[in-house]
Amino acid sequence: MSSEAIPPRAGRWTRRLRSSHIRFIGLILLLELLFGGALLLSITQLVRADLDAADSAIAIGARDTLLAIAREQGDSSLMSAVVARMNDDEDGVMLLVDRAGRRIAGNLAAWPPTVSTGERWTKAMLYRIGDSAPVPFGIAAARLPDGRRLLVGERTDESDQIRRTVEGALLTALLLALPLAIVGAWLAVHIIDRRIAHIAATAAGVGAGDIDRRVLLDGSGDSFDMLARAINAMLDRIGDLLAELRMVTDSLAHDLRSPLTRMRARIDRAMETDDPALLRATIDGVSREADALLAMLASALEISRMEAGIGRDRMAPTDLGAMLADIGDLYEPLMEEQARGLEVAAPVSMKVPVHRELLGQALSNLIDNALKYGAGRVTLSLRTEAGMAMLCVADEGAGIPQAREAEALRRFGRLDSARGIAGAGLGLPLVAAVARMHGGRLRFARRDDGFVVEMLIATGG
Amino acid sequence: MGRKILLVEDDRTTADFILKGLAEHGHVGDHCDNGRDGLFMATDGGYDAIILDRMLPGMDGLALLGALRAAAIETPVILLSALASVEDRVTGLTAGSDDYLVKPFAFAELLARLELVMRRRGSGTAVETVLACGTLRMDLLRREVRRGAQAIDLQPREFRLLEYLLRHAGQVVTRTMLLEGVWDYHFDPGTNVIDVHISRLRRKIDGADERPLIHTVRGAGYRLGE
Repeated sequence: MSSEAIPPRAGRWTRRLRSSHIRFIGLILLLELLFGGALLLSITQLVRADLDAADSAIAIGARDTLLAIAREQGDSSLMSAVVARMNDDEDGVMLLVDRAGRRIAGNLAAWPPTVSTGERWTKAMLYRIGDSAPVPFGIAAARLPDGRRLLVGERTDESDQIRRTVEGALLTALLLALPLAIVGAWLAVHIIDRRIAHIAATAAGVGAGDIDRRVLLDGSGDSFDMLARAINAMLDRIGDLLAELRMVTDSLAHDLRSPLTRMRARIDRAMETDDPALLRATIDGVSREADALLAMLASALEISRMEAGIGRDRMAPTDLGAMLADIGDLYEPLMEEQARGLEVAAPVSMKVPVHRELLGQALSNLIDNALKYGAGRVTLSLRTEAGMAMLCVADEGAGIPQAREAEALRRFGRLDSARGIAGAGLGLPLVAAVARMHGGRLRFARRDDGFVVEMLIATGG
Repeated sequence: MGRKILLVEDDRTTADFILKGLAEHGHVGDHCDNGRDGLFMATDGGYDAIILDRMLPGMDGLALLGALRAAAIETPVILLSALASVEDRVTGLTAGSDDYLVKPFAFAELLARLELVMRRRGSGTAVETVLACGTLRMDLLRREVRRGAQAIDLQPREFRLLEYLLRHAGQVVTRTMLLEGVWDYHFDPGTNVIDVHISRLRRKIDGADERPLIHTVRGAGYRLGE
């Protein structure tokens, strides 16, 4: 159980923080914040640099013009240019001071302490003469060759305003994006959650006994679809095994009852007699019945084990031709005694990984069937077909009618013609199980000269 | 020739059935009903063979067998088990048992296998080239069989069948033992395939004038002997 993974002392919040949902939403939020912050920072930096470049160009241009006038036209021209510019430009600031720092001309009362002539361009809040509030200026300053200093500036409130607007807009966008990110994360979690909850509900339903429930597929082929497919395949397999188990127990219960009842009746009858011959006969009969029951149980269990895939690891490369010859050799005298005859036609030598004991049992069952229910000569042969090995047991009788094939393959299924003959109806089902275990199948063929049971097995390693 | 045999079996009915059978055939059977006592008695008692149930209280039969073999005690062991599948059988044999018998079994089958494992351990490794029983002689090198002066022509499989019987002359061999020993298969052939092989062989070696050598043992199998 998943709840066992949480330490018993963990509080409600620790528990909640363990939730994948919370972690997922938190991760998305964190990423959103980092991304938004980086965007905000880079845009404001770009805008600021751009606006500063424009502002500084104006101030530096004006200063350099004045310096050029001073150099080329003399002192009086500089003075008149300063005064003219001061009257001209209401948004400007202008100051010319002598070596002692006394004002010669300009609309500033004194040289501001934050401005030096060494810098290319600087920003400062200044009170011009007559101003009641400080105004932001972009300032370019310079020292003239005779020791006087010149300061030229231009208001920057407009660019400051633009910058503030941009920053405000970006911050608002970021704040608006936060709840959207939360909603987005929650939606993403919800979508994943719905699919997982569906899978969990299906598994819980199956666990509670609703064996036929399956996870719905959306056909997208994504990892959830793959998970759903895998779970469905697993549930199908469990269903098959359960059906198998039910079949075996039902059939066993049914098929054990009649021979056990027969045994019981014989014993009851024998208990009323003192005739030693009858007693002896009864014991013999009961012993034979018990043997038949044991054989039936062994076969039924062996089939179930094979269907469950047990024993595949015991497969070893075996020469099928030699094996057919061996089995043929085992049955040949019996066939001859019954005036039937047996022939092995296995011209090819073929090494195929097989479970030797189980395949031997299967072949033995097929020969036994041919002997009991077939007619004429029995032929064992080996061929290849479509990359598979095909072991055939043929006889010259009519065989199983096509319409009754399924019935003959059903466990404990015995055709009417076989009811009088000893057997449990497990011979062919066992052969079919052996073929399936070897990656193949069982097939019947009817020919003019008789009936063939074909057992296909995979040759791959 | 009475032998000393240890039976480790927790089911009282099965144990009584085996002990009674052993006594009837002149063997001395000691019995204990759990694995711990079984291991103690087996390491100590100088037994000729051990009949060991696979599922025991206290100590599992396979674990007991492992402990015995680890202690270099090589007393022959026959495992008894209710587990009938091919896999279980292989597990039992690879764990170091000499034979594996599935419950329920006929006592004759157990006795035959018991005598087989005890003899197997008793006989040396000397390579025999001639096997004989009465007037029947088998030359393994020249692959010839004679009954008295009369040469007998046998098919390869009949030769191996007779060889198996001769190697176990005087003992009862069951049909399953023959299927395992001569054909190397453990499955249940269902019909009396082995009987037909035996009657063919019998026709060839027990001529009309000879004393029969191959005897049918009712409810068990066959025995070769005079």
